[in-house]
Amino acid sequence: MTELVLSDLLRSVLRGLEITVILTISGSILAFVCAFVFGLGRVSRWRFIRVFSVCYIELFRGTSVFVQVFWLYYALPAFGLLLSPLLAGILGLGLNVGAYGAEVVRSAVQATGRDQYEACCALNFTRYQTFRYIILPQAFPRMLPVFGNNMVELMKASSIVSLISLSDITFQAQQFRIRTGQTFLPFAVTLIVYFILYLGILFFIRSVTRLANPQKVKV
Amino acid sequence: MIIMEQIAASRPMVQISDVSKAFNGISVLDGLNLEIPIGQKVALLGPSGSGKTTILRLLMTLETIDAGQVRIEGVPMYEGAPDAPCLLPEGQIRAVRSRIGMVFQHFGLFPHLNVLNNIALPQILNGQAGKTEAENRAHELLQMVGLGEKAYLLPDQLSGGQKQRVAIARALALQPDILLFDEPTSALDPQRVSDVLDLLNMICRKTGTTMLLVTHEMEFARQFADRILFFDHGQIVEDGAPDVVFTNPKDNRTRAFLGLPVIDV
Repeated sequence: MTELVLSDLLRSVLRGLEITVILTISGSILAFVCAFVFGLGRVSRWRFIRVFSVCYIELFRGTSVFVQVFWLYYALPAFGLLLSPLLAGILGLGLNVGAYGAEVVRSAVQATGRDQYEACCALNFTRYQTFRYIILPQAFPRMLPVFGNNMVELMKASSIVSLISLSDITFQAQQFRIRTGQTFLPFAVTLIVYFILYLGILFFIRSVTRLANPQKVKV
Repeated sequence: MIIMEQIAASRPMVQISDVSKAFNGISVLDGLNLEIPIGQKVALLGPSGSGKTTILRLLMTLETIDAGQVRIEGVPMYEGAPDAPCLLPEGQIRAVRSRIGMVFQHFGLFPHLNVLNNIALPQILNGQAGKTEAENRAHELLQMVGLGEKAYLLPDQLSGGQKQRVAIARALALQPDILLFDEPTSALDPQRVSDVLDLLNMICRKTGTTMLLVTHEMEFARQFADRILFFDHGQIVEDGAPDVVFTNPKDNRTRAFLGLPVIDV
């Protein structure tokens, strides 16, 4: 194996890594926003917002993320909406994982005991104050471990964007295999890189968890 | 002018008029009438499910009534027809609600906030005090309930009796005119019960707050209250001073509950 092949592999992996990281971070941010908007929409006082949120959540949880990305990239142009592959990838992954996240937000908010809501009423808090100062600070730490899992799922699912011509790590590995005929090396490296990304997410979530509940870490 | 003042002074702190309330078709209160003058200490007694706690909860607007009207010093809490009352809109009901405080059976402390912030935050959010002022007041109240050293602990690090006192301090911090206590002693060791009694008596002396207290402890009620109300099936069957109600109640249900011989009519 020549040095040329190795440096080619390294370059390919780095280029692919960039796309995978951009997809994971942007997708996660979108998913996070969607999770809150629709998770809270799900428990809204207004029926219309509840129904709309349920429709979004069930639609995106009930269909394949592959098909969703294909839809955004291949089917939307039929309605005159042309998205770049990267944007279609971010939207598809973010909206899909956001739907799962919304259920996490809903259940964490609903898991906060009735006694907390009643105490807030007795202390004459507004709905906003109740949510902002009492419910959310208790619910948010409960969401974090599942959000971490969702983020890992999103990172792993990001490999499907190679099917809409985005050159992420998986795509680059494939290209490398086609170029050089090597199979073991590119896919071994790909596996390792995904695992390192996973460890990165794990570390990130642990740090956020530590920030979100300082009292529990005070050992 | 003098007449107006007299009318204002004679207004009961709490006036419950023809109030009915049912849960899933089961009537809990049925045409209840009750007036509580300013500064009175009332103990509500009676078997479980007799509607005692429901009265506290509807005063605190945790429940709404099916019929009737509730007034706090003459100010109604409901609008619309008496047979279909509707709680005042949020902005207006908050003004009434701000006059009422409640101490829950299981305290309802905020587990993510330390003791000090449990007491300070409500003052800040109600616009009663800035951060420093609210914290100073919280420290004072903690001193008063004997927990001066516990300010920076989390509620879960306290015993039941200590949590109870924090809950009382938190309710007091908002300086309500009416304080509601839902079984304040049921979660405490018997030794702690007299501490709570002393604390409530001290609060009464200091603030003259009107108090409604639901309890199962006869002795506690007797020592605490100016007036005992005995409930059965959503109706007041006995209403009087503790000495009278405990020694010579006129209703047989009360007599049975207190273990006194039933009177033949």
